[in-house]
Amino acid sequence: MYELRVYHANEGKLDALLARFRDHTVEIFKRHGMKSVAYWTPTDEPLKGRTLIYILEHPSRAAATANWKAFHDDSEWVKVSTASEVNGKLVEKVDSTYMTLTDFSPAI
Amino acid sequence: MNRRNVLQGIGAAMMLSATSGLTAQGAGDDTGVVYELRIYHTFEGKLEPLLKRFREQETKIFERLGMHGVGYWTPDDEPLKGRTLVYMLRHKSRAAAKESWAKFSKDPEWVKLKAESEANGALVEKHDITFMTLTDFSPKV
Repeated sequence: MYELRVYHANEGKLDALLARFRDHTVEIFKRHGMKSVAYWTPTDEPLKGRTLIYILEHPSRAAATANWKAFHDDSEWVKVSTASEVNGKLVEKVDSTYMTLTDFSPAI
Repeated sequence: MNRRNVLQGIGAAMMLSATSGLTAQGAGDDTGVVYELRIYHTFEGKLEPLLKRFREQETKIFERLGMHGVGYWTPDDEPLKGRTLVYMLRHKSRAAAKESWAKFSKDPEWVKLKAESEANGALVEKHDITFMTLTDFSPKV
């Protein structure tokens, strides 16, 4: 199953958020069995310059719950998230939508 | 260097800068690949007919008009469950997206399909559209 996540960054924090994903988060996801489908940034206002959108693939909903717990407990994540937020939180709000491919969808 | 050579030199420099300007353009303008995330919020009881319309014809019309379906999903949880379709298209460029959608809205198969599928009322109450480009660290999709 799939998880669509939309991160609304705090003012001026998108570049720092992208750097954290590029340098750490994506690798930590991989380590915990969370497969990255893709990562995007919107091209138009009002989301442009302040939003990260990505999709993860999990083996199951139960696995997603277990994976997120393992992610939050991961020592690299704890260190990286603390270090990246010394000047304030990067993300104001996260929208998470769990979803299933329709029977007519291409495989991903 | 005589005047003609100077002018030719300037012309070559301008062409060079126009060319490099073009190749430097990438994600986020009219020339690079763009993704379009669309979320359709259906009227009560209309998700099934909407899925049927996509399954049987609409996705094929997209492909015929150069809009590539990346994935089609339905949310698993309330409040979106049972009333929402989430899908993503890939376009060659933002300009191509605009052109494809213009062709789509006038496409005879689509016009007929839309009229038939909405004989008992519109299916989609609201749709959210977000154009996006891949980040530099994203896998290809």
